[in-house]
Amino acid sequence: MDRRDFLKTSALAIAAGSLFSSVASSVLSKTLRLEDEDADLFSLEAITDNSDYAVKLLEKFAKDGWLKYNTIKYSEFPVSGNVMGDLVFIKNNKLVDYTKSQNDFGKKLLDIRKELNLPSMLNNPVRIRLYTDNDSNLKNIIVVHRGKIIKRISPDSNDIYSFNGKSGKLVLGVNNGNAKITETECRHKICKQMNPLKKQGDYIACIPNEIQVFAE
Amino acid sequence: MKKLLIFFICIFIYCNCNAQDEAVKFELSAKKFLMGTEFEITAVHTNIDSCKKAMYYAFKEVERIEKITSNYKDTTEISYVNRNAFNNPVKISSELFGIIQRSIQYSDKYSGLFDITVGPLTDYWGFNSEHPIETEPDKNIIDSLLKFVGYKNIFLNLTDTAITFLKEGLKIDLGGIAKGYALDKASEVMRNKGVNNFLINGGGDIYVSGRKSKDLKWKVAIKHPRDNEKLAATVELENTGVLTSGDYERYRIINGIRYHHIFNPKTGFPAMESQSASVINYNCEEGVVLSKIYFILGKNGLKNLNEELPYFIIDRNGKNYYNNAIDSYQLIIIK
Repeated sequence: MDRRDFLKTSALAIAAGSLFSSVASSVLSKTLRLEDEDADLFSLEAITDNSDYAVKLLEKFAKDGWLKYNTIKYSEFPVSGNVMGDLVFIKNNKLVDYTKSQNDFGKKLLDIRKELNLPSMLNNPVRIRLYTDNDSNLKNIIVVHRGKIIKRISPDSNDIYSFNGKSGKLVLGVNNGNAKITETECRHKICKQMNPLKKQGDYIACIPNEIQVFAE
Repeated sequence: MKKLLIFFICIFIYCNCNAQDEAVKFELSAKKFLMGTEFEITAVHTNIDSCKKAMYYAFKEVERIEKITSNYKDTTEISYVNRNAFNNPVKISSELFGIIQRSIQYSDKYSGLFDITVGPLTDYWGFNSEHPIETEPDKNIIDSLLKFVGYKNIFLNLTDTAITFLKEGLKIDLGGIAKGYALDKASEVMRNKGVNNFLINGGGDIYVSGRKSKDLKWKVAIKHPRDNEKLAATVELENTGVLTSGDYERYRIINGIRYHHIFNPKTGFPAMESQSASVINYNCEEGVVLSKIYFILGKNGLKNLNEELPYFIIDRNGKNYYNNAIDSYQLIIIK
């Protein structure tokens, strides 16, 4: 596996508040104003097919002080299939509509969006994300097999889900907003001992099975 | 005028230092299954691409060491040695030679409580295989296997870095040392690539370099050995490792007895004095060896050792023990 493939499939810190959960939830109807200076949680995400350039642009944006944090978490992750690529800014779990903003912050984001030729329909893009910690309850559970999302589960589903991985069957139990591996046929069953997913950013990996479960 | 110039230069240097301190940093984290366990690197750096590259090469380094030291695969250098070294000098890489040589030194120093020739016992208990033991262990079989355990039956020829087994049936298992060595080498790679603030977790053995941020050291948790959802303690570290041996990762409970993967090379049975033993040491290779020795000896056995690292031991009854040396690492015991 070359360096690029490795970085895309080694689960580089997948964590809270993904584009998927944000778009899927009702926050679209209730966007946050950019001028809200009290907000302190953010996620800036680019779904792009030009990941190297996107990293450079987002990194520069952060270094120019627009995100107001000294330490910012970074993650990147491949997305499977045909997906609408875009640049998304989320503040305190609410989607910010920067396209209508007249301030410098919004204009900067629009510049980056334009540089990356977004929005556009993309095949197997990469999700690049800069974000801060988030202790919110999980809103969405995603299951990833061999680097690709294979299932999205609601934490309220109170059900069990079975998946087949490289080492055999893996069972995920979802109960009262928590998710946990309840059965696995992998060798050491380390995934079964991992803490349940309770808040956004938690994750469980069954590496022998090549399955990862993320809380968003 | 000269004084004024120096004053301005000083101001410039001061501002520049401050700017560096407050430069935006990015925190990246990646995991990979290597050496039979999960390796995770978390790093904080000013440049995302350089950090990703450093992490990639650090993982490659662990992969490289796995190819030398692992018994999981037949193609590794140690597997070749195990198949061919009886009465036959096998020339090996200086790196493997060094690991084996240091292992023997640890065995000598700690009276055989660490012994890399436990391979036949490892195979019997099966905790490193797909089929760990499921029935009551047979003492007669274990006693018969103990005849094949003994690091003094390894002969190393320094002149041509060759190894010979002096006894048939000898089998080296580097599982008790290789992970610590890999942590040391992966850390070296990270630093050589210019990333100085990072944490590497190799299946619960952890090395940290630098700090998480200007004001924060890396805070490392020690798992509770009997409750997956709890932590036993936390320590704050900078440029050192916390290495832990526990009976809770690979085990089988048979007829109410917990049989696990850390056994005493002298008895062939799992050591039962402790549930978990953690030591703090900047050299992870030595640290993982010592965490096993501390685990085997338990709190009461430590007085037989001439040296004492900062330690945190949970004995077989779940009682915590630690020494004064760990105080400087802000030990917090979680009730």
